[in-house]
Amino acid sequence: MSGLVIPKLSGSVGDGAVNAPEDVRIIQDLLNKAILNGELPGFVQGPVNGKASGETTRMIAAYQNLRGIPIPRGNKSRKAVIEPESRTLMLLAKNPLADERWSEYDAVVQEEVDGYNQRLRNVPGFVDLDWRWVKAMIWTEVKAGPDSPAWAERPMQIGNPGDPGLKVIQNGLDHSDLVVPEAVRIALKSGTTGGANVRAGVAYLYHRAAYPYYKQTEIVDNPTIETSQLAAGTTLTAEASKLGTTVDEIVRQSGLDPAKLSRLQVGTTLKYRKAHKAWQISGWLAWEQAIRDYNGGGDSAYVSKVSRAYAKIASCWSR
Amino acid sequence: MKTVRWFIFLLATTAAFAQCTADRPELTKTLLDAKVIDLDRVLAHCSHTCDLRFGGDAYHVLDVRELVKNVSDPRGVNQIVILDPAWKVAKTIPYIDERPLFCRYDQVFILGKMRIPDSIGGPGNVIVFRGPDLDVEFRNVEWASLPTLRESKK
Repeated sequence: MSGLVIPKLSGSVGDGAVNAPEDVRIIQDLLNKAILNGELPGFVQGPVNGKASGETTRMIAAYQNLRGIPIPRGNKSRKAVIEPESRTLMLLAKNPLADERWSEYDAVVQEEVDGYNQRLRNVPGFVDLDWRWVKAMIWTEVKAGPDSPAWAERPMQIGNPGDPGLKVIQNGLDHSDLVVPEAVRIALKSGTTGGANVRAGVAYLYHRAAYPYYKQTEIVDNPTIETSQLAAGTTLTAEASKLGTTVDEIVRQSGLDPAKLSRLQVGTTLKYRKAHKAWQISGWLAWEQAIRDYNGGGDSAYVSKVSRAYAKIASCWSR
Repeated sequence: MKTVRWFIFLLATTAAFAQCTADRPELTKTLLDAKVIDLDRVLAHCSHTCDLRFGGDAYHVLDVRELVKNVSDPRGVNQIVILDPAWKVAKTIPYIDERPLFCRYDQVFILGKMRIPDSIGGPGNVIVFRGPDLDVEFRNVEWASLPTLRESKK
């Protein structure tokens, strides 16, 4: 990823400045994004019309004041002006809502989220995830953004030393194989930095949303009821395995008392249907709770931090 | 302010770590051997909550909270750990920000409601353990239905 891109101005913008309309539009857009990012309290977004109004210059003055930017020596009348390549312009451009580097992973996030949303729509209780939540998680996980080495290394901060999450996903543990496609699991074994870390993080988020609802369910393979006699020297578990069914199925169909299974008589008639047990996803957590679980309880304010980032993101990016 | 908070946090985690590692080296070894805790994580809290009673046997309930160091906010790895009478790890139950509070016979009462895979019921604030594998069933109790100290003394 290249460095911060600072917009090129042909001249100064502000009180008594050159105010070329295209330059003014650039500054108005940046000021609006600063407002959305909470950097200009008390101001509301204004029009991006290329006209340097009094409100535009008041915003410039307030921004420079809040950021502690000194008035240039030559500016004796203390007018609020943004010069080309100035510090004010650099700071405005560094806002995550304006700096494109903060959106480096958008494409991979959207692709992953779309894939999981489509695959899991038949799960009871499933609601599509809005990809912007993942973007907000990345912004929260690496608060310093693209200037931090962690941004390129592990943007979702999954796979840090001691973190069990990555191994769970790579190896399909804890039934995560029900959510994460095999191809993703295999790909994550050959690298987990950058976009791959985002893929791992998205996979882990979906796994967390399913986790409390992984359930062993009985699948009937053949509806025909069959019978057998309990042989000597065997157990009900062994008998069920031999008959191609489950203990629960035999207990239910035969009307056996679950508390007395260890005292069954030889020759007891066992009724059953051919059946097996399989893990399934029986429900789905609300996404807010899944995001909390992604953090694992390490930071009790995690969800509110992600929510704040999401609110900013949602004001600039559509679903 | 942030520095002060970090100092308090570090002091607290260091104290909790010492509690498990220095005062209870055997316990730490048991948890490490069973891969319940990890050398690369910060052991932020480790305490004996209570004992479950099955017949004449006591199973020890531990509250173990670890932190994975992250660049911004730590990730948690929190578990309720059940040790059998021989101090072997019999079961672990992951949790997020719930907490085990106290035991009553074969039940652990929880602050908050939780649910784990393949359990019966849930989310619930009481875990009932069943059978030799300590299968989990969740129930719910209204806290107002529990006796106060004064009521339980009558």
